Amino acid sequence: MDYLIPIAILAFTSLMAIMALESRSLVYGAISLGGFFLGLSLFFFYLDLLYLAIFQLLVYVGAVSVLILFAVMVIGEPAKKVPTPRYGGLGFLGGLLVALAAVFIALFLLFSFLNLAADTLFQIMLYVSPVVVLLAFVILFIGEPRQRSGYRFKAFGILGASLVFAGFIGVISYLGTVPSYEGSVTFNLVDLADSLLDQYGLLILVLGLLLAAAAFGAVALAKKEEEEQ
Amino acid sequence: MAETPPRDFLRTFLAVATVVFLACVALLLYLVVGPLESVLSYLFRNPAQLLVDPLFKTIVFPGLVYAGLVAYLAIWGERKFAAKVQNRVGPLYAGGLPGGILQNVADLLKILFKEVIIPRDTDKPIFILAPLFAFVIGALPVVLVPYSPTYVILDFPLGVLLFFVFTSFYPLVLLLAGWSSNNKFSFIGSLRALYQQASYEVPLFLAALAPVMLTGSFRLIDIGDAQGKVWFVLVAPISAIVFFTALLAELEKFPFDIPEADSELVAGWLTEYSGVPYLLYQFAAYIKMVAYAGLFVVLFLGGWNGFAFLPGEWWMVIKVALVVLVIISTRAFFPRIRIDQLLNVGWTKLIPLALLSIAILVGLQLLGVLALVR
Amino acid sequence: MNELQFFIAASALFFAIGVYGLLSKKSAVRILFSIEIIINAASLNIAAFARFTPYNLGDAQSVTIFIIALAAAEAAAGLALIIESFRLRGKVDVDEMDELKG
Repeated sequence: MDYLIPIAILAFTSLMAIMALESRSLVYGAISLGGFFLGLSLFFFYLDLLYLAIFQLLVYVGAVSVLILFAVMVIGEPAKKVPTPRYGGLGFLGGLLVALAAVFIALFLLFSFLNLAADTLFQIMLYVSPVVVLLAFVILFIGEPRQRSGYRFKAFGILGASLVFAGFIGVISYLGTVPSYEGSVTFNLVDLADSLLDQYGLLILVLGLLLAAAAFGAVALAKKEEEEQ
Repeated sequence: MAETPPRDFLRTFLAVATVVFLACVALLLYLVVGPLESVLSYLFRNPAQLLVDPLFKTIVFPGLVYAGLVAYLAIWGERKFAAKVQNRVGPLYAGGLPGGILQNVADLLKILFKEVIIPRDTDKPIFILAPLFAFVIGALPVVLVPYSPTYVILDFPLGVLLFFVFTSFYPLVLLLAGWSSNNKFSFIGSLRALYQQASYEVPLFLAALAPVMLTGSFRLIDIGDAQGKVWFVLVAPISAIVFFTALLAELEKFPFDIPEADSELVAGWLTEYSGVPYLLYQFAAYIKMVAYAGLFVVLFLGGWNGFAFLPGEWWMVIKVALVVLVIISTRAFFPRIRIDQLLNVGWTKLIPLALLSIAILVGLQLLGVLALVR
Repeated sequence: MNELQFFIAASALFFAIGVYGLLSKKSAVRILFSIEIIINAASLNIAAFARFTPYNLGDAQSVTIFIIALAAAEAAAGLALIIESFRLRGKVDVDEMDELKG
């Protein structure tokens, strides 16, 4: 039961990530992406990395989310063309993904509650993933025939994701127990400042130049070219 | 036909309603909480201990009641001050108390009874939730400002940065509010507000860097304690000026009043809002002002350090009141500048000034005159 | 299962969600969302290793800060490209962007 807080953050964040991809309207997707960034910064808060959490909030939620939302609004549909979202805006495939993620999270809860060994959990995930993929294929091909071509891409996507996930889990279980330092960590700003300036000082200057170049490039790309008229 | 004037009826109605409301609350407490003794013993256990209880701090001072009261007085004071400067009288009649100080209550009642119009083709969830988010994000910075080393609701090791996190969340809400109104002018108005708020975040952060450099910590209590001998406004005056200007722009006060300009684009991004959502936006703006004024006092004006005949919290309250007075006086004194002039000032003039101030501080330290803490 | 394994598995889950979006979406904006999800999964992984290995915490946090800043620059450039191609074509459908001309 001591995993309750990180599992709650994990549930919220993965729900936001799935909604960012599967919601019907791009604007809801952009807002959910902002929620995903917020959930990730909650993870950083839980890990006692306070400065990183606030940096993530400031840069991602404060700037990148606004940028993405602004671009989506400039491109996209006017507000009245948004179809009424059903099933909370997700649709069938989004619901399937949410169910998969919920199964994953429930497995975590079960294993931490029963204090079982991690190897068993990872073996289960390694062998269950292909079965899930097979089930997904079967369900999708039984579905509506006239949308089969669209669904084929999505099945391909689920296949790729499951392979990647199984790969990760396989690597972890192959490496055995990863050694972990579970002592308490106090937040220390001086160490961070020391390493940022001494070791990575030159890199920060280069990063500044890169950001300036990216800003210039973005403006130059998005500017309307008036000479051609 | 009754001959009693309407004002008497309203006053008696309000008095009776207040008494009935309080009686209901007392009855509810008695029935729900259980024996009244346990509640009373919690409230009255020890006055000295009650004053530093976290619940007291959150609700009364420096939390909801105090911030609400200052915002209320600021709204009234803004109208009165602007009126006096413009040789008018301002709010005078409401409530019978001198100076029309109950005018805000009258406005509040009027807005509560107004019809909430939701236009037909808007994105309704976003349209309804945007004012709530604006209010929450505007009101949350109040918990960070310390009024003395004991009177702080949330003592965060990176207090200054968390304050700026709330600053950077606000343009998101503006964008959603303007877009969901399904009105081209609202969207353009919210884009202009977005440009203004996002552009002035950079000078705000850079100017707040000077007190952080002088103290060596992001924690607001440390910054306040470090000003025991000399206030930071005397050590880094350029940063203080830049911070105050950027603060006026972030709060959408004159001369940076474009988003709420009454004579351009109807009401900017607020056009489609009426009634309670409008009230939420306005109240959020004024509570944000209380929080930002508190931040300015802690960062530059010495916080709770003052002469010893008053406790620190009182000094803080007096200074915050003075800063709020200066902020609301800008409505009377300044014209409104154009959006391109505004962005010009923000990017090309304020940012180099803030960097100049930091360079001066570093130079003073290298010369050995000033000792920057670590 | 110790906490580090939990966080590695969590970042693997986000990575998998991002790969799913990358492979199966036909709107360029959704693909950009997936890229951002993948980058954030990687930074969560590094941050978890930073917390749970007894080395210098400042170094690992600096690396994650670099990742965040670089991802922001890349998102800006990507969005500029998307806006420009939307102006040319009227929609952002990656299945139809299969010509080098224009």
